Amino acid sequence: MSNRPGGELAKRPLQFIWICDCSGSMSGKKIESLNFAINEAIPAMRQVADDNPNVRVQVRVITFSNGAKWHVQNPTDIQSFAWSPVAASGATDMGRAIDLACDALEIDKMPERGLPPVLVLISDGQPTDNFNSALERLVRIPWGAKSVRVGIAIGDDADIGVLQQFMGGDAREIQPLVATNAQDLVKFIRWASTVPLSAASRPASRPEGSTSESHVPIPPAPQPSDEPINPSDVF
Amino acid sequence: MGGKQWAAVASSIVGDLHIKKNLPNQDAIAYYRLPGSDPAFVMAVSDGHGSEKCPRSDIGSALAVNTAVKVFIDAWSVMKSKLADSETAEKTSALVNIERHLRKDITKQLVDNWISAVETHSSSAPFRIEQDQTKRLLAYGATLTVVFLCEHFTVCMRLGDCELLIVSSDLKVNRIAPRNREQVGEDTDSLCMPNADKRFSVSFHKAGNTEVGCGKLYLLCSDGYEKAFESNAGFEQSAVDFAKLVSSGRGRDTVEHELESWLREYSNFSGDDVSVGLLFEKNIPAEPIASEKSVDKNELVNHSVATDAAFKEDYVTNQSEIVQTDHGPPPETNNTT
Repeated sequence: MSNRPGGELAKRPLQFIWICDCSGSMSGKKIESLNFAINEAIPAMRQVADDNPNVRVQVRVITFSNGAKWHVQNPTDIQSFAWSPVAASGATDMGRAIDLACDALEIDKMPERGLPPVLVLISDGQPTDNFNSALERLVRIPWGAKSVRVGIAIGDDADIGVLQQFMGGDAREIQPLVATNAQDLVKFIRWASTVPLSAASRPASRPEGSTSESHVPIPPAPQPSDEPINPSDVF
Repeated sequence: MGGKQWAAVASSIVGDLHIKKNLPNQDAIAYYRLPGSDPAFVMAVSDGHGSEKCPRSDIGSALAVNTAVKVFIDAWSVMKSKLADSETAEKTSALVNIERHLRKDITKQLVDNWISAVETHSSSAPFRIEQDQTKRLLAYGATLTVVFLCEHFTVCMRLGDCELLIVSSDLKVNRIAPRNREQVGEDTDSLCMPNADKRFSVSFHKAGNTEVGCGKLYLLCSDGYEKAFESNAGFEQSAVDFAKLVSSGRGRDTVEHELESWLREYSNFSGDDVSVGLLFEKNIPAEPIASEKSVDKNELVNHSVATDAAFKEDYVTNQSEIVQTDHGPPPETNNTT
């Protein structure tokens, strides 16, 4: 047994939160593709965790439709995390979902030595509740302000402006990802599940407020596929 | 504190994340025992930011600790003359002036001299694309925490996320300017920021007046050490454990022998570079000061950071006196855009 000075050592926890639109407009192919894509991304997330042994990747899931709720509330280690499919019906209460995320990101709810959390918001529509006040709260609380936020739009009806706001406005380096077909959704969800996660796992310190750019630089996002798409896969 | 003798142990290792990125150790740690009849010691630790916009922050951190040691060598030569042979009233007045000087002038000197050292280095190793001063300083961005102690007072200065824990004789832990809970993530104050001298947290204590003034052990560390612990309590416990160790029979030998392997263990959890410096009261009668190895101050101060090679040589030359542990080779000259 080591005679090393000090108390218990621990990997630094990193919370990854999926925020999934489960409104009625997501019914059918969109929600099927979402379930498939997230399930497919999990092995890649485990690989990122394996590549960063000093980080403990923990996953949580919020769904929103008429209101918002935790689909997976307890931070769950990615190695034991399994995706249980979500279903679609109801409105698009995105603001309630952001509020729920804010509750979890309050200082006293977060681990002392946590890494910046990663929030991935997936939606095909426009908020039906007060999104702006929830977003204001998110960027006001310390862990919300430090979070890495990615937005994925499904189909042409998604409100890109809202997703851009969620990601931090025009100053951020990356734009919302727009998936108009199932293949792109799989690709984008895989990217959002791994690349920002990897970046947040390897933070460098930086002078406070030194630049307007994201505090966790994220490599460029993939482009939509230019290969022929099966018409039945188009949202 | 009069009559106390002090000893130091320090080590620094490069963390796994930087090994994977093929980056050198971004931390630097240095200590120096000032020669003379009054026991005095300075120790400094610095953490270079290590981001893409700070490609020379390993050099920035080394310059920071070197600057700190030099500034205190010069400052002490003036301060001790004001304190020597003073009557009580005069000494009290002198200490008031010294505290003011440390808070206002020395913090400014630390920043100004670091900037000057950075400019000298960047002149000798220019960026591929010319940078304005803001970007030049950012390229070398680093934090700085310093402790200086003598028989009359202790001063602790902290800029950024390197920590300083002080263990009192009754094994209580004091923490200098702990981050408040609202400060989350990796943002930190830095020498490269505007008005950096105003951002220092300074803690000044007359000898014997407070628990800090009666410190038995000072632990300076980079945040890669602190973030390895599950909790603040475990982190602070480490300082108490070190204090107990170095005061036990062969504890100091154990620490000197084991410190690097412990740092590796800490780094396995934080992933970051890890540096720890311990400044502690000797628990055995000290040998006469004259027998301690001393350094010709001029030799130390006159080393200039003319080129990367000369810079490295500077540290190697002074390694036995100014400890600059595990500092890797300087990085390639990069532009920071």
